[in-house]
Amino acid sequence: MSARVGTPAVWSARRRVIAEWALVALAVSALVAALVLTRATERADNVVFDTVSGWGVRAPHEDIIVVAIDNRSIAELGRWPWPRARHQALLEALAGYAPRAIAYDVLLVEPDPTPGADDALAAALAAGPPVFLPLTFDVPGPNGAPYEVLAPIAPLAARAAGLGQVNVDFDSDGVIRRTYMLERDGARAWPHLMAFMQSAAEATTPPASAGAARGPAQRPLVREQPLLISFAGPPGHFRTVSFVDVVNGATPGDFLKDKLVLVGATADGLGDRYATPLSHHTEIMSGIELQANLLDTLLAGRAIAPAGPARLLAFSLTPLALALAGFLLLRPRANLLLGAGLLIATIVASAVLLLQAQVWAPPTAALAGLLLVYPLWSWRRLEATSAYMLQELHAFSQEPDLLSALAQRRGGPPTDVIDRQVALMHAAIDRARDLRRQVLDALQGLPDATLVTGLDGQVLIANREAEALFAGRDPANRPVAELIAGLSPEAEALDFAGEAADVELTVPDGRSFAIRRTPLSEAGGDQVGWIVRFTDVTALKDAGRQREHILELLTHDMRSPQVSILTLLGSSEAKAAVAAPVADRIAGYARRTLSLADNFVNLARAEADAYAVEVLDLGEVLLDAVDDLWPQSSARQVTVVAAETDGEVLVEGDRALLTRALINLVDNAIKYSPAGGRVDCAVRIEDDEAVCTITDQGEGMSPAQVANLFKRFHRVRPKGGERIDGVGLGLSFVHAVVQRHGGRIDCASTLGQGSSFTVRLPLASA
Amino acid sequence: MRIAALEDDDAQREAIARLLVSGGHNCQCFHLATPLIAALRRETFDLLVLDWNLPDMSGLDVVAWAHKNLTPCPPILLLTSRSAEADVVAGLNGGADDYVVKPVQSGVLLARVNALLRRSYPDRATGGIETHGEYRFNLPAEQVTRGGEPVPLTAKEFGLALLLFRNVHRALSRGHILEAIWGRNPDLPTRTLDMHISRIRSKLELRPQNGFRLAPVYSYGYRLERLTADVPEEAAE
Repeated sequence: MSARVGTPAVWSARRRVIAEWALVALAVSALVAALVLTRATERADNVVFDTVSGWGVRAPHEDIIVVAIDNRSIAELGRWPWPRARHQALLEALAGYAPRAIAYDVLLVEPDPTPGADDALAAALAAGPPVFLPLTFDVPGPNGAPYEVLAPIAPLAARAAGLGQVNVDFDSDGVIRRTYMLERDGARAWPHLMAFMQSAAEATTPPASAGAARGPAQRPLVREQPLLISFAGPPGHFRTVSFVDVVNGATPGDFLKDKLVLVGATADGLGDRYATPLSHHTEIMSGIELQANLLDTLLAGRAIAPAGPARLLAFSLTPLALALAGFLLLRPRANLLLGAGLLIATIVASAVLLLQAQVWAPPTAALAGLLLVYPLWSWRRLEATSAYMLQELHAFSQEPDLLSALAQRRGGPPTDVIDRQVALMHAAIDRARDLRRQVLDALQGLPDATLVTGLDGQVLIANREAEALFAGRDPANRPVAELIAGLSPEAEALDFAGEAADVELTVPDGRSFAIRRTPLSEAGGDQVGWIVRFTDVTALKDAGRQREHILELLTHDMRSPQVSILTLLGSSEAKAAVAAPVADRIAGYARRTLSLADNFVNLARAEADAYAVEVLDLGEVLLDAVDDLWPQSSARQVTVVAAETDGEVLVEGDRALLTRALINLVDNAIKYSPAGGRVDCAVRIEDDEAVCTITDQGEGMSPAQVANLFKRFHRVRPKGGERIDGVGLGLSFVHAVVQRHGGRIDCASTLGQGSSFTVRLPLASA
Repeated sequence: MRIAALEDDDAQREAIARLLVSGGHNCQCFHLATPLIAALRRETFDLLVLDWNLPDMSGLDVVAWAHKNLTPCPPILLLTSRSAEADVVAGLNGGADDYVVKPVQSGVLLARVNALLRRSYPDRATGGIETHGEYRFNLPAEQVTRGGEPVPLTAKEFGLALLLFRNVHRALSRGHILEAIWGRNPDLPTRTLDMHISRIRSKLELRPQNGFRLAPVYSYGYRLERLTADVPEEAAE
């Protein structure tokens, strides 16, 4: 079955495949959308995020310095919690180094037991560079309040350059990846501590903060302005100095100058610690390093925005759509390559977006869709194809077997589904093989040289007769035109484009062939080639030539001597030599011979030749016939009356043959009429037929004679020995002509009263 | 007029020669085509009467040769034993101007010969009135009288009748008639000509009883024949 042909079965199979495709597309798209919207793949996405973040390790911002309350500081300065004096000492020491701003990430929410210590610290806070202090929230708050602000005690809060929240947000796997730059309960808002540091670093207006406001909390806290931290590196990545070294003045003089100093705990068991994307399995990151990473992110402008739902859907569904389009347009191998490419491209796109554009588009949903759609589609397509094959095999097994009586089928009853399919397939293949064999045998058995060609005339199969005809030249894979030209150079070229008309071919050894082409069609009815037959018509042509020869002999060679006899009899010498009655009788015999020959030739042509059909008026034809016989009728003093015809009586016919037929009938009527008699002729329309009657008043015929007359018409060839006279031949001619015009002839006759011949012909269609 | 006659049968050749001489023509006879062609190269004839079947070549070949080599080609009358209509039409289409089927009736042959000569070498001095037997054609008035009685004809019928009478004894092809009466490329129903012929035959009573016969030439056209007064010998059977 060729691809350009769409049989109904193939179309139905295609429709089914399209339906399956649509179903698969819908199901997988819905699944991907669900995965995206429910964030069901968050854990897997986190792994990707962590891995990709690991590729983005960079040098930390030079201005960020961590002053760590590390193990050594604890060891040298005493156990935590430290009195306010220690913090005061650090702040004073730091002031000497002249940093740009300080974030002092230690919660100072309870008053120091030592009187005046808080005030002294407050003074130190105000004295040096701006110092920002953290605050946090207790959720839920006391007495049914939605939350409580845990801010530094009032004196410290009053002297601090700003109070910022330091809440962190854990992902479902307990890892810190994101933070919210604003906490808000409607009216009051607290920016993040690092937002203050950023404004100090970039010398912009510090953000507005509700500070240590202690009014009653009304509404629950809402987190706003989420961002994903772009971690600069694993724990220990930022430049760090020890608290104790700063206090003791061991730090080099300009190390902290103009820097952004973050003070916080790193000692074991002290302060907060978190797992981060870059803090691998064993390491965890101290809170102050987390803040450092956030500040670094802000200063570098690398805050990562999570992609919104709409964009994320687009991102996740695009590779799926491409894969689905590929299913319809590409071959399986190309589809496999496309699928692998889409998987890689999705991951790369996600990574590039994260690292270069700071947009986080989780790829897992898209990957899941891609991984699912391939097996699903393969399965459904296989189902559809299998169903189509089964259906076609069933249909094929139901079709009548051309030569079923000859074919022997094998195999036991099928047992399971696969067995049944295999059995069907086997039967179909067997049938195809049998058919091929039988077709070849039939072709070989043909008596004519036969070629099977493509539409272009290239020979595909040739039978033995054809091989014999094109002796010595293997006909296969040659153009028919070339083969024919090889047989006879003058041969007419076969026109494969037009209507299949027969072509005659005569080969040099004298044989003649009729080349006949029959279109070869496939099951759908479209033509796919030709069957070209070379029928040997030598004998037929010989017979035709023989016939022409005999007719030629009769028309010319037999007529000529009779004409000469008549001419001679008319000469003055003959008139002198031969007595007039004898001359008349000789002339009569010569004319009879002439008329016999004419009648014989006319009969042969009326029976065999092609008719020149035109529309004509039968009344005119009758007039022509009567006028033609004027010499005969006037000589015998017979009046031939052609009745006036009422309008035209149109028939379709060969004018010459019809006229001669009527001439024969009228001539007979004149011959059988007594001298001075009358012949009546009329043409009319009767029962939707054209009718011509010719009636004489002659001697008439007995019923037996009439029956005999008609019996003779039906005999195609007279038996040997039977005498055929001119009249018999003439009537046979009339009968042949009328019959070939689709009409009939009757004769009514009464002895002593005359005969009446009636010719009926179909009227010409309007 | 100088007429060349080609006929291989001695008796027929002599009969033809006698007939033509009796008609006042100068006749030169040939029994083979080759000497005739040789003579045609040297001499000029006003008319050729050719037999169809000859021992050395076909009369049709002579017709073709004459049309190719003679300028102007004289009118050609084909004599033939071939009575089949197809043969007759083949002869006319092959370039012959008319034909007579053997056995030749002397009156018919002479009438056809004279018709051809009249057409080819016209001698017109009509003065607006043409008389053909009892039919008088008044050209300016486009009126026909038969025995003094006017016969009402339409313009086309008058033209057609005149054309037939002027070419009496000559086969006129349908194409020739249509072009002469209806002009070039007429868009006519196929039966128009047949119907006009039928009307003329009926109105002018062109029947053998009245001395005229309007005969069809099958697959070719029509010919108006004027019957000679003497009854043809054929009918005396």
